Amino acid sequence: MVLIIAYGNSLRRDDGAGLILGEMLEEAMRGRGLEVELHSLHQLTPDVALTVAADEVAVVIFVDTRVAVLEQGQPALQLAPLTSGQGASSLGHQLGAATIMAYASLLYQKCPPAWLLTVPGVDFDHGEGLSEIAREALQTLPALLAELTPKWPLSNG
Amino acid sequence: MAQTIHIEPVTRIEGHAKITVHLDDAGQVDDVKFHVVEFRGFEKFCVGRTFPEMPGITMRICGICPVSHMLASAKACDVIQGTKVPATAQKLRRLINHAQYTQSHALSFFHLSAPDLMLGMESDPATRNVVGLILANPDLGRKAIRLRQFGQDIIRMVTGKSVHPAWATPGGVREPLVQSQVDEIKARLPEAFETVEIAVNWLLDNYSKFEREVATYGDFPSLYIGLVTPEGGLEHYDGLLRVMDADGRLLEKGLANERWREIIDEAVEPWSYLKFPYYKPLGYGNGNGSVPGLYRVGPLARLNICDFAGTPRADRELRNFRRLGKEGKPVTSSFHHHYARLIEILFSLERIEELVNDPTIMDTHLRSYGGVNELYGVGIMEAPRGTLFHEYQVDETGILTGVNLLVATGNNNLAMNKTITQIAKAYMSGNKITEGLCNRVEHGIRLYDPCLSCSTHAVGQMPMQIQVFDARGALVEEKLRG
Repeated sequence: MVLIIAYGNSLRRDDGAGLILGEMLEEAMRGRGLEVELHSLHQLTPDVALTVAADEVAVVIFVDTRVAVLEQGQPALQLAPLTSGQGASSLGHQLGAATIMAYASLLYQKCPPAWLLTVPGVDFDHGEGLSEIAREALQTLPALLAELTPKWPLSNG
Repeated sequence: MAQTIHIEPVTRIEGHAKITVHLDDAGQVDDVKFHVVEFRGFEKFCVGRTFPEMPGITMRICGICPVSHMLASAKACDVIQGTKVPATAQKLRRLINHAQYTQSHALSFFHLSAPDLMLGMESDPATRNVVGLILANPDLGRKAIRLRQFGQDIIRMVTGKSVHPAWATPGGVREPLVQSQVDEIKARLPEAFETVEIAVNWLLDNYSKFEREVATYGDFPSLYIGLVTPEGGLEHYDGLLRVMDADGRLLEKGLANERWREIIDEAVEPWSYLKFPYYKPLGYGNGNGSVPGLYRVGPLARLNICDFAGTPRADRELRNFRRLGKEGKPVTSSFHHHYARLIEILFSLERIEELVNDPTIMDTHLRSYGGVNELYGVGIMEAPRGTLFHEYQVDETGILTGVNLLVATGNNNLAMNKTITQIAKAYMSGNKITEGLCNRVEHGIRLYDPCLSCSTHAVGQMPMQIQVFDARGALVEEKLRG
């Protein structure tokens, strides 16, 4: 099963773009005949590791917004393999995707292949709706998937 | 040479908070300021909406305590609607609120604070983290995750979603509890109790290691504010406002919610977007840094102001907790927030147990209906991190014309500043910025478990930038952490 974990705050404009991209990706994966489960979250917390560590999870795709600053050319969707790791400390409550994978690996000895798919964001003000940059990037999902092997994400793209 | 040191988390939303340490000419810590530089614009965003939308909108402020915002909002809307909330709906609201306390306090204690407590505040930052804690004690790590998951799962079961459950509504709630859910909650309670008992025992067994932290992590006299039941018991959902002074005297024994503005006012400082609430009758002072009306909210305050908890396990621990106070007075050190949180998880689990054994908990009359019967409504909750106020004004058609949210982190703003000042004075030597100092200042903030950045999340690491400036404003030292 392909587990999609999309997260963000839909009341902070582009911060919610990952949630929209997660839904788009779920539909695209189903269109490829894959078994998919989408979890839409406000933010990543430790118990997400239990979801990742479930036996039926073959691959995990984290879907998030990234800050599009100092990027050359038109900011686009970015897809990269994700490895486990421990982020720096913070005053907040959220964890990073790599830390979730570290939890799953260390506590449950489960480390399914994982990817991080991000959409560029430039507007994180209060409100709903997306910036033009985020909206345009979302539309490129079909093209991005077309560049990958038909078996992605179950094998490397 | 006077210097200023900045400790600044860098996140997606620029500068959720930064800490500046101000040294005097002798190089000693003079003052520490905790700056919140992100403007929270939710109030303005909500004006013009209809009041029944508010529980659904305001819960999206926060990913950790959406239930608090939802219920405080629903309570304010109950007042505007002017109808009585059915008894079972009140019980279900209490049920998910206790579930939220379980998950939120578990996150604060086990995942955010335990690495410092169990691995040492001065230990190598490469291992002083949650992964290090897991490697040191994987069984406790798994239990901690399951405890948090238990709270989340109750919220999900009852509301249909674990975050942003649009479930509470003016006059009640939308969905009932069913037998299979009651059975699952009952089955998982024993493990939850066991996990908290392990943590309580560990903390009490190790308290002697933290004598200096107890004395320097926010150990000062202050007022304490929170809700209590009409009988004076520990209360998280609904009750009367109580104010206690540093000697344990009750300045307000039980004030009705709608009179809250008689006792709380908010000051503004030019260096922070977060306001500085204070107890109005004692005032803000003359600007020299000492605030007579400084108060604390949250677990420490709640356990100080209540006469009793009202459940067996929590009352047993509360008696023990009270021994931490000096000469029978309130417990003054903010370091004891850790113990207070664990006691509150026990209290919540006991209340959850009572509620799922209540024969009326699955009743299906859950909502009363009405229009606009009042033009003003206030809803006050005890969020896990402290007292939360939602105050709304509407017009005759139910359109919001005014929204004011006073959140727990704001209520603790003065106390957080005083706490990190005390820590810096105790642990800082010269202009050296050690990892240990950073850890301790950060831990001092975390004692209050503030909600600073959870209105959005951050990609990747949150490095800490530390800068030292001399009296002329020149950068003399810089350190990037993480």
